[in-house]
Amino acid sequence: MTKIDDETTSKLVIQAQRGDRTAFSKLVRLKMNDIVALTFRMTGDRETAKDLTQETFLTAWEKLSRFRGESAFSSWLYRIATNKALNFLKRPSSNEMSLDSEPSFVSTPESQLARKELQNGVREFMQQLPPGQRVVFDLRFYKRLSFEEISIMTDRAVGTVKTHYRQAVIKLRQLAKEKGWR
Amino acid sequence: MAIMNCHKVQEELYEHFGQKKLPDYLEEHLIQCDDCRSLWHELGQLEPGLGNDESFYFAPDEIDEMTQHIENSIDDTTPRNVTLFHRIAQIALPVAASLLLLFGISKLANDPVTLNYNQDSTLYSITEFNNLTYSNDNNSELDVVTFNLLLQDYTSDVTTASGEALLDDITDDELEYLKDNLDMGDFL
Repeated sequence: MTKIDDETTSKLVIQAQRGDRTAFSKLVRLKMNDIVALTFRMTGDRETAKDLTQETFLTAWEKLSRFRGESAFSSWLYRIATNKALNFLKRPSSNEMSLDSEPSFVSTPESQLARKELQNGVREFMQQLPPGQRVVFDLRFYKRLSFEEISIMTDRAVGTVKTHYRQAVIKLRQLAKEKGWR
Repeated sequence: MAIMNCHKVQEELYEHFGQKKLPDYLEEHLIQCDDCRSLWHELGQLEPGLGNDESFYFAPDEIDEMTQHIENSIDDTTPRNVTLFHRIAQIALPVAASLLLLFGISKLANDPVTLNYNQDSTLYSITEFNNLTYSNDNNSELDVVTFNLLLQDYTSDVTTASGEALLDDITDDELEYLKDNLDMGDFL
């Protein structure tokens, strides 16, 4: 297990690899929001994000024996999730997703509104990016992964990953100017 | 000197978007260069509008519902018990089966019939002789069992009941065929 995974995660992964469903359920609860946030930003649709997250964990369960701890468990999950999201985005029907499904946050109406505005803004920005740039931007900006880690995860050269990120930030800057975001 | 590197510096500033700390060489450049400092400042203003990972977390009730769904689904699938033994077995068993198959095939190819002639010859003659499928056609080949019995008697005195029976049954032409076609060198 890598140093990046904390002790709890490492233990749960080992137990789950021995077929312990309870340990795997704990892992699911531990990592669920991490994955659903990623798939939500990638697809821009809550229901799709939920479906892809569930598929991610089921695939993880099926292929858990292949996880050898060469990367963090979270990174391994990100890889599965991004592949699922990219496959989803290749489908023609992915452009018809709804943009207004209401989230159920436990928060005040004001913060809920602010959060929704933020999410809509990010969604608008992300949907302007090609899928490859979208993945790189998400993993770098939100997941705080290094370019080297993203390079391994996406099977792309480090230079390509940096270019994707740079282009995504340039697009963000342009969009912010157009929309008057500050 | 700082101005000359602006293009490269700005590329790196884009790459460092979202990072709290810049490398020293970029910080030093920003102190000297208004354009690059302005760009870095502008990029910094964009960050709050993107939120962070937690801004996209789902509500606890949604997480519970999804987790429950996954738990139900994995209950229907085979658990992956991956002990060291299982990992080795996954590789070793197919290899062992293949080797066994290859060994068996090569054994059969080199020694098609392995009959133990030390066993009771009388019994052999009774059980096997009745199954012989010898044809009177001179051009046809002898089946293996017949061939081996004839070979045994051809190279020694006829001592077995089966051998006598066989020699009684074969015609002169068949005996001639055996003499012409039987090369002991092949068996030595």
